[in-house]
Amino acid sequence: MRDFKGIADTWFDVVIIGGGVTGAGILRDLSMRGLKTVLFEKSDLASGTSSRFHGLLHSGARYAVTDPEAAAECASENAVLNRIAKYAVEPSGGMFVRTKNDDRDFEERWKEGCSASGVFFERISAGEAREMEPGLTSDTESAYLVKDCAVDGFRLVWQNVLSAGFYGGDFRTYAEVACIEHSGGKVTGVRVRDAVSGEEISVPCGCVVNATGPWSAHTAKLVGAHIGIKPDKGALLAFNHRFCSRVVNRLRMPSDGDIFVPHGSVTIFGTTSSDASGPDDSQPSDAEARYLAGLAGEIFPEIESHRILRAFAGTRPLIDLDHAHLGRDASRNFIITDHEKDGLSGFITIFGGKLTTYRLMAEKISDIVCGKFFITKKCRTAEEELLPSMSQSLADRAKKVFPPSGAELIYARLGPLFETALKKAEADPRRRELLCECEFVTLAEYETAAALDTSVSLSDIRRRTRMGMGTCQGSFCGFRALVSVFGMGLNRERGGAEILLPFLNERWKGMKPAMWGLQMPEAELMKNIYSSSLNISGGQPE
Amino acid sequence: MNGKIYDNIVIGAGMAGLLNAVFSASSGKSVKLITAGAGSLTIGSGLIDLLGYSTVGGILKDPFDGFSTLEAGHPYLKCGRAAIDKAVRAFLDICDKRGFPYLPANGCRFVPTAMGRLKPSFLVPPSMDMESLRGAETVYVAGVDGMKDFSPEIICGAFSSMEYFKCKRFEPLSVSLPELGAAGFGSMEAARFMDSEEGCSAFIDRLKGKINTGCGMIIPPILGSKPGLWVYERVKSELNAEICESAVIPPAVTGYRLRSMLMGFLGDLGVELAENARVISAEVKNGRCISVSTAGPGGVKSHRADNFTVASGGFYGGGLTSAAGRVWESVFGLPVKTPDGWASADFSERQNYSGFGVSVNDRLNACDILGKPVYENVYFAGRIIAGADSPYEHSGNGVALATSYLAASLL
Ligand SMILES: Cc1cc2nc3c(=O)[nH]c(=O)nc-3n(C[C@H](O)[C@H](O)[C@H](O)COP(=O)(O)OP(=O)(O)OC[C@H]3O[C@@H](n4cnc5c(N)ncnc54)[C@H](O)[C@@H]3O)c2cc1C
Ligand SMILES: Cc1cc2nc3c(=O)[nH]c(=O)nc-3n(C[C@H](O)[C@H](O)[C@H](O)COP(=O)(O)OP(=O)(O)OC[C@H]3O[C@@H](n4cnc5c(N)ncnc54)[C@H](O)[C@@H]3O)c2cc1C
Ligand SMILES: Cc1cc2nc3c(=O)[nH]c(=O)nc-3n(C[C@H](O)[C@H](O)[C@H](O)COP(=O)(O)OP(=O)(O)OC[C@H]3O[C@@H](n4cnc5c(N)ncnc54)[C@H](O)[C@@H]3O)c2cc1C
Repeated sequence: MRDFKGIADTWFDVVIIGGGVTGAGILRDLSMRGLKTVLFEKSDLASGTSSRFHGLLHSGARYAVTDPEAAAECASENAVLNRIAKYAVEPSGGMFVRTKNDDRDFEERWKEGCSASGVFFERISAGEAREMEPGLTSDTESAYLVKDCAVDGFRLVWQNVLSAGFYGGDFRTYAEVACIEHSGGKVTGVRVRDAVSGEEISVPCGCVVNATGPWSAHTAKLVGAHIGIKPDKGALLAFNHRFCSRVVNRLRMPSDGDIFVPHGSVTIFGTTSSDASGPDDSQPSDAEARYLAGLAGEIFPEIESHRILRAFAGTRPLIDLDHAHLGRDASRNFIITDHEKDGLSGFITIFGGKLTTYRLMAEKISDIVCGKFFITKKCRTAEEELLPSMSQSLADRAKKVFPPSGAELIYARLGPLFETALKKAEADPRRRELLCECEFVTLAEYETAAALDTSVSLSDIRRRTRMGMGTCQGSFCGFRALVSVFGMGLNRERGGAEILLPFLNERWKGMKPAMWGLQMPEAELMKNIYSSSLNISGGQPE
Repeated sequence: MNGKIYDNIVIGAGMAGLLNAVFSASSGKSVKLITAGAGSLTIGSGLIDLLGYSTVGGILKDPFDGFSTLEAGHPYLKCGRAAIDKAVRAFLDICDKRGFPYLPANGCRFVPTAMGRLKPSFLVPPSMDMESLRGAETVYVAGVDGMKDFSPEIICGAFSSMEYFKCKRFEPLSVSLPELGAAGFGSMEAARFMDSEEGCSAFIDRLKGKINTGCGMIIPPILGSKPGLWVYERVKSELNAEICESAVIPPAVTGYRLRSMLMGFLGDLGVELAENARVISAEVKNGRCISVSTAGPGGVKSHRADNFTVASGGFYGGGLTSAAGRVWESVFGLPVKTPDGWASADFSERQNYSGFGVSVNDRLNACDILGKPVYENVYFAGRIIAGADSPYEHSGNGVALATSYLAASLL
């Protein structure tokens, strides 16, 4: 939602700052327990770390040796999410692979760790592993199956927020919390800035939850509180090819470039760990992309001949307990700080953890918040599905206008808005045409997402529909999307280039670090279409 | 082994390859054209940009005004002004001869684009010249109902706010051609429909009464799919309006027309054509190329010639191949110099990779740092040559024209 006036000076029990998976999970939990709650996100939902991550629903196996507690949490939350989030999770399964270059002793410790934390694993032979994943290196010595899955962060966040909506949970995007107001040691409200218009409103409340991930320290500073966070950058590559049918992890002491996560038709590979200058430091360098690409070949030797779609990076809010523990060695477990100890009641910060454990984190902090309101209702987020299965009547109608596999995909992306898109397609056969051929986005779906007031830019629509995330990276569907925006009259005084250029720039920014091989023809094509033919950045003659 | 030894074997059928084959065959040489694909002509606008922007910024009124700002090593500086003038005349002659005249060279000519921009080009068919709308106070921007990738509103919005057009009024308009279906068709399908008598009259009839005589019109490129101006002339005269087709995203009808014209000419000139054939290697001896081998549907074949012209394009065309940190020319494996930072993070900015290519001397032979040719009977033409950032300076087909002409004249 974007309507600011409607909530100005309106009381909320709780204000959540941050529209990543943590904030979204808390919004759902508190709303289900009956607290009147609103979430503010300074940009788009899931535009922070929750869309700059690996997309792995951990089985816990990765942390079996380094962090047993996290391993156990991941194992149980993995099972929960497979139950409640089937429209965001791809139950691909996972595999751990040790090559002849990796430490044998670690394998033993890993098995012990898994057993101790209740993490499932099953030994298979190297031959079986290569049969199941034909691209695997012939250096494979041993392999295990685990319960890793792929998870879509964009969908998970939206599905939490929309589910919260059923319980009265509210949210605003492009809404930056600029100030936290307090008096007499108690939080009294927040001031929220509309990032589009620049206007500010006041929202009174009894409690503020800081769920701003790597930005948590900045947010805490708004009230003068200190949180020790060391931002750490992790870079990832998106390959335009599905190398493996399940998640493939390298079985060794966690290090750079260990994990391949297949998502639909692409594979996300990473990651790295390096000092970040701040939470916004999320542009991978050309050198990082090259370094990662080299590592990928150690597990899938054929990888070099495939195109890298783009590189991206996220920042981890690592806990800076003392300066001895940095980078990957610092604990990844989450931290909840009730700032009452700093003399400010009603302000709580949560950060760290993993996307996999977001629900558990939300439950823990919601318990604390509920305590402050003397609410004793128990957490029910693990019991109820985020998005119920598509009803038979919808499925029957959808069959007539969308191809069979298309309907489920659109339902997963749009959730409760699916019927809006369906009606568009039913009413007008033109709306069944594809706008984005790579990602199978019909005009009906696109227009449904574009019409939302949360869609301020083409990138917002991309995050909801995946339009522009495929092979062409927006070269073709970008222009089509623009035509549609004008057709719907959503351009509102803005020129075509003003709307399209930021989108192209954003796609380009991710292509740029990985410009070599099969990426080059695509880049040259995209640049020529928009610069040579259309002169998108051109001025006017005198 | 095909026994014949040609005067010139041309590799690539983009703008540079087609023109080189036409120019060399016209002067009596025996020519064979070998190509893997269609190159960028059919997806580009078919417009010949020469130099639209000076490298120090700003749109140029006349491309030649910008020549003094070209950086050393630019392909135009290898060709020289005299050869470029001759190439331009030769191109216009061919167009006239083949019944698809382009407008005479006269400074930059502006073409409207689907993005609502004006694009400074140089050699332009009359149907795309914005200048023809100069006298019109009202300009209708007309789209076809349900057609993909064209929005009159984008163009009207942008042009209405341009100081340059302050005396004009732009109005969106929509023509319905239900014969093409409700949706899902593009400008190519519409242009093919307009080739027919039925299509052409339908378009005219449905516009009559909607527009005033003497007005101007901007439309998508749909005035016929074939090289020639008859659809354009007819629509213009029956509607009593000035008409201008715009540049759009691929596929581009206007580029397709130029390609058809050149292909037709090649046929008449008796140029032998090997399509879907990729040159995979070259046999070289004593600083000369003896033959090239192709892989195609008929297996591996060898082709001999006295001269070879490599017009294999850039990364998109396939003339350049790259791996992380390294670029090479695809047929001979010639190394390509690559300064650090291949691309800028800003899409609109200059991109270093656009200028990556084979370094040539002023005879268009690949050369080492001392300017010594590597193979003296192998010439390079078009995008494969280093030194022009064509999307930025708007010089793509101009470089292809100038270098393909020069290469042919050196045979
Ligand atoms: C490289 C990398 C790979 C990872 N891979 C995995 C993985 O495979 N599996 C897994 O389970 N976990 C993974 N993680 C961890 C996981 O991504 C994070 O734990 C999770 O996304 C954090 O979510 P969050 O909501 O806390 O933070 P975020 O998603 O960053 O959300 C915080 C939000 O707060 C907003 N915000 C900041 N300041 C303000 C303000 N003043 N007002 C309003 N809004 C504000 C930001 O815009 C942002 O959207 C990975 C992390 C990284 C960095
Ligand atoms: C599980 C998973 C699967 C994926 N699969 C694919 C895939 O199949 N295909 C694909 O293409 N990508 C894929 N991605 C990557 C995805 O497209 C993005 O690259 C990734 O989410 C990071 O976001 P971004 O590149 O938009 O970030 P950025 O380029 O950093 O931009 C994020 C947004 O913030 C804005 N922004 C950034 N920096 C600034 C600034 N300094 N000032 C103002 N605004 C700014 C941008 O305009 C943009 O809207 C996947 C990612 C994940 C996590
Ligand atoms: C979308 C787009 C729009 C453009 N718009 C304009 C414009 O409006 N104005 C303008 O002036 N310029 C424009 N350009 C640029 C212009 O098209 C090019 O700079 C120019 O045409 C290059 O022509 P070329 O013949 O050198 O290369 P290409 O057109 O790339 O042709 C290369 C040819 O070589 C063949 N080939 C490659 N390797 C081999 C091999 N080993 N064996 C056999 N054949 C091979 C390819 O199949 C192809 O036929 C545009 C380019 C594109 C891509």
